[in-house]
Amino acid sequence: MFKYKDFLENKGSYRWNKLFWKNSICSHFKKVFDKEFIFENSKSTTQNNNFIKIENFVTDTYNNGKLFYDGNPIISGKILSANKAFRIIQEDPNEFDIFYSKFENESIHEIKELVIILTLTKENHKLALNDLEEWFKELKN
Amino acid sequence: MNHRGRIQSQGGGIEKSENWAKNSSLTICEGKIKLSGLKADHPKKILKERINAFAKLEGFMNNANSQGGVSGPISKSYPVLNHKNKRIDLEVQKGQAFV
Repeated sequence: MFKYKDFLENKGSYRWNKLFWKNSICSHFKKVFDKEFIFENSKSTTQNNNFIKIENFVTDTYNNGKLFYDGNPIISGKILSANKAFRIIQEDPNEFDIFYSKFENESIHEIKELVIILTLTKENHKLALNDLEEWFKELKN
Repeated sequence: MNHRGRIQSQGGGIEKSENWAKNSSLTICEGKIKLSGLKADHPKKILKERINAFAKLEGFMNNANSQGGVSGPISKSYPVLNHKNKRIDLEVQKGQAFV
């Protein structure tokens, strides 16, 4: 039922989990907004320079460069043309079971953000992508 | 000020925070004092409900300290189990914390 269930114990699984989010967000946005999206610092194979960059929003590494490896956040980004950001926090399914929560936040980082807290099931993943689509709906124009 | 941030407790009618704005990095000791101050600001029953979320935040502060601290921008939210709208937040807007 849960994807990447061992993401908090297995660093390899954690990194695949992050990549899964990056790829699925870009792929979903391309489908619904009919534009190419790319996360900042990603290795791109696209030949199209007309893409929308999802810029780094909050840091998920310590000062020594190591990842937090705690899913908090598992992925984040901001899209400057929408002047909005998002964070997805992935919780431990052993503790939270099936869990989905979201809130909008005026963070001290001076940009409106959508925060989604979930355990990663197929249904919650779909719900999160739909909530992100709604959050960035002005990109449809 | 070059080092700014806050920890806050949200939801369920609670909105309490401890902020910092300093010219030097927030040390782990100062962070723990802020955390203790925030916890002490909660009625016992509400603190009990949020104790796991506070413990996770404290765990992160300790991990950060052992890895050389953290630098902003950082946002972390710790949900309260079985209470979808209640959470503890950490935000480091700029500068370093938990060194």
